Amino acid sequence: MDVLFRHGIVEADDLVFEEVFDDVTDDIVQVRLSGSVTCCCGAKVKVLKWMDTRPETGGGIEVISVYYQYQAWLPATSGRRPQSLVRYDQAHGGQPHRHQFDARGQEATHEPLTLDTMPRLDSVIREAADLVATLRLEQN
Amino acid sequence: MASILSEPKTVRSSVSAMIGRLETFISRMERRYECTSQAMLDDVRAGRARETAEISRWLGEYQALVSLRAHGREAGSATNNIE
Repeated sequence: MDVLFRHGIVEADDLVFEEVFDDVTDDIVQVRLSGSVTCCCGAKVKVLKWMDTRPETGGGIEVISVYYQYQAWLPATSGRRPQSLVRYDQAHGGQPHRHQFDARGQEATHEPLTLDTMPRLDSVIREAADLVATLRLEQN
Repeated sequence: MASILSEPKTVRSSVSAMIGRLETFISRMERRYECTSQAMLDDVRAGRARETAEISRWLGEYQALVSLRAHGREAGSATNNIE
């Protein structure tokens, strides 16, 4: 994903992987990814992802995502309220959804997805940058 | 701010410490919305509550808490005492 920096799409991030280990055995039982990404276009993408772990036969662990939330928005500036752009999440604990917002920040579409069609974080960041560009074109 | 996309920052937390943090966050949300997490999860599933970003995050953390508590019970670790 560092290509997003090289391409001038991402300015910075404070994402942290947190390995949650068993108090007794020290085995990693879950992994939590959280934080936010600041895009050069001004958008921010807030990330929360929970992953379960399963032991692999070779001694390593397999990591499986069990909860996602990618929330992209334009923060408030002087004279402009915060503007929601798009959000991917799975509040039901089942299949994920894509929520898109209009220029007034109202939810415009609420589309069910499957885990197979759930985009990766880098795709969500690129989508947020595209939505900001579209929004600015519409406003000019 | 350092970038972690090419070199991820990783920290470690014990199951019991993470359960404690999640319980603090979830209690705050339950007080704010004046309902239990399970009731909110049922309402969202039934379409009675709108799936906002904040509620989705709350329910994501709640489901992680349920999973970590179950792990504590199965593993017989120190998290057994945390309910």
